[in-house]
Amino acid sequence: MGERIVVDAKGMACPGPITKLVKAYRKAKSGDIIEIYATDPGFKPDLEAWIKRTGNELVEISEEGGVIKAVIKVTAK
Amino acid sequence: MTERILVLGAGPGGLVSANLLALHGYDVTVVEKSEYHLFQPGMLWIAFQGHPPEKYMRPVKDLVKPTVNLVQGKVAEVNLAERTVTLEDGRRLDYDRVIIALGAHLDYDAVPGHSSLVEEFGDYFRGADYAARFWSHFKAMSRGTLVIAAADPLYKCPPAPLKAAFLAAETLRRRGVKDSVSVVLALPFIHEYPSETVAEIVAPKLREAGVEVKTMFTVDSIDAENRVIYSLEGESITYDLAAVIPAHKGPAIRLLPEEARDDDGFIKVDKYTLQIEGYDDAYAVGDCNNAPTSKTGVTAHLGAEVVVERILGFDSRFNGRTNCPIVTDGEASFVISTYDHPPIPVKFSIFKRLLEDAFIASYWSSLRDPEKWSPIFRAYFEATDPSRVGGGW
Amino acid sequence: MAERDELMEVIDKLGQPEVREALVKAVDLLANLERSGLLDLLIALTDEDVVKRIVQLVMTTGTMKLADNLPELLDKLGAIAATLAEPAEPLGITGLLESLKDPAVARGLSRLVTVLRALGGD
Ligand SMILES: Cc1cc2nc3c(=O)[nH]c(=O)nc-3n(C[C@H](O)[C@H](O)[C@H](O)COP(=O)(O)OP(=O)(O)OC[C@H]3O[C@@H](n4cnc5c(N)ncnc54)[C@H](O)[C@@H]3O)c2cc1C
Repeated sequence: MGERIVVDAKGMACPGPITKLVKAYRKAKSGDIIEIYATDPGFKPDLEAWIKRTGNELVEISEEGGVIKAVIKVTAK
Repeated sequence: MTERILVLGAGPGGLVSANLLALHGYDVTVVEKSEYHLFQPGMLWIAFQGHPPEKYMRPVKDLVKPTVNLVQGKVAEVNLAERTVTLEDGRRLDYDRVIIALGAHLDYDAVPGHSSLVEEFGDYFRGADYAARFWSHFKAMSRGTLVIAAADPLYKCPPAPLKAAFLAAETLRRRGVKDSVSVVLALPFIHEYPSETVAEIVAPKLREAGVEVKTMFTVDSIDAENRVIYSLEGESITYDLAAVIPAHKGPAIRLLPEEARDDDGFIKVDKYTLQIEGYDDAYAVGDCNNAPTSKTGVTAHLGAEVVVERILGFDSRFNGRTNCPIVTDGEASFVISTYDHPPIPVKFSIFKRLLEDAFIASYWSSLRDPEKWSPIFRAYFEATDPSRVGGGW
Repeated sequence: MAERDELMEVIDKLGQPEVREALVKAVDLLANLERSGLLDLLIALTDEDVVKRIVQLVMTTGTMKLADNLPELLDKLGAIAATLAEPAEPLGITGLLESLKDPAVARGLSRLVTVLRALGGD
């Protein structure tokens, strides 16, 4: 069973959320789940580009009340 | 009794704080470990264009006003509850207020193989001597691949690697070897710059300069023997010469209480007042704090002014303003943003290059006599505030 | 000791012919400025308050934008100035409409409207 890493990147303008994701990803192991919350509207396309490049799995992406929630399963490490 | 203010570190943040406070009759002491102050952007010119290191260094004692006490020594511990600072040699200093301006700590151990790389080739972050070492390799390069990369997306002066690539390309062209040396700029961001607005402006300039850009490449490990850099995102690049920006951490001191720092060791402050959370007699300015803005000399300078004004009793607030220059051959652009305003589109122009030349020329004087430059800088920052030139400049 | 070294450095410099020549010229320049009264003006200009006022005048959003676009602006002004030497034919309303078919004229008109908008706004 992997660990669940929760990253709060709310209120951070770019490059905040992706920076935080990269930092969390560095520490993560295969099988871990990264759950990240952000308010920066640029985060969604950036995350999609990142997923495509790294080949990790985007389990869930949703938006509620201006907060974007993304759940990523680390599969490429 | 006059208030005793301790200023830790004599970078731009510390010097501006100390020299302004000295004008107002405080008993100011600066603690600094090095004898010389280095104008850090100068490392780019040393490493990629062969400028002499001396050009960018001045003795710290020449940069403090005569009424400032200068203590040469290395800070080992700051105890915020007891209001004491202990130096490595055991000396203990007490204070009424403290301003921590120790900059960021560069961690060459965060990425395997990085310390071997920097020892072999030098770089443009670690110090003037390392920059000179880099030049000694770069100036002899006539074929192969030069890689400019970063170990983490968080580092001081976000445009630094872009500047490095532009300056490197210019030198290679002048030496007539641009066609046989490829310059690869590997960045940890999604685009050519963290802000897409800025990325759109620099991308064509990078193409023009013949720089090959690789995005989403965060250095994960370096095989210095086989000359390969591996990224966290799963790619690799082979190099003949490489400079990798190290991971940045908070200052390498013991800071009590430990809760005063974030996960990376940066000192937690209120982003407007730069006061250390929970202490009204302690501030952290410049690269050592966790304010969500770029780590730059301009930010350190403006933050120091805010702290001094607050100590004098004014309700000043730092707005997170950045003004990072990106220079190409004859032009420059600035990355201009505040806490409330993401980077605005700023086109490259000759005028901005002249402004940047003027900023560099006024550097030493603006640290020692910040009060003389304040009205000029203030007018510039107001005239170019994102709320005024929001649509672009 | 260090001060003595610094003094020696200055004396060494004076030994260089181009430094001596430059100094003589600088002294002449100063004397000329003094005779014409300009030196007093220059001294007044370096006063801190005067500097502040000049900066207030010169460092505005408008001047920053103007200076930034100076090369393009001067290009256009130069091109306009050059047309002044050519004879101009009177142009009637039909001629005006006719010339709007020229894309360069149409673009120029669009710029003029932008200028009008900037002039009329606050
Ligand atoms: C290549 C490069 C290019 C850059 N370009 C630009 C630019 O164009 N524009 C811009 O605005 N910024 C630029 N920067 C960033 C800028 O140099 C820094 O943001 C700025 O120096 C931060 O100032 P500071 O006072 O916070 O810290 P620093 O300048 O890092 O000063 C910290 C001081 O504390 C001292 N110190 C550290 N630890 C101890 C200790 N334990 N005891 C005693 N003393 C200690 C250090 O010796 C140092 O003097 C650039 C940086 C680099 C590396």
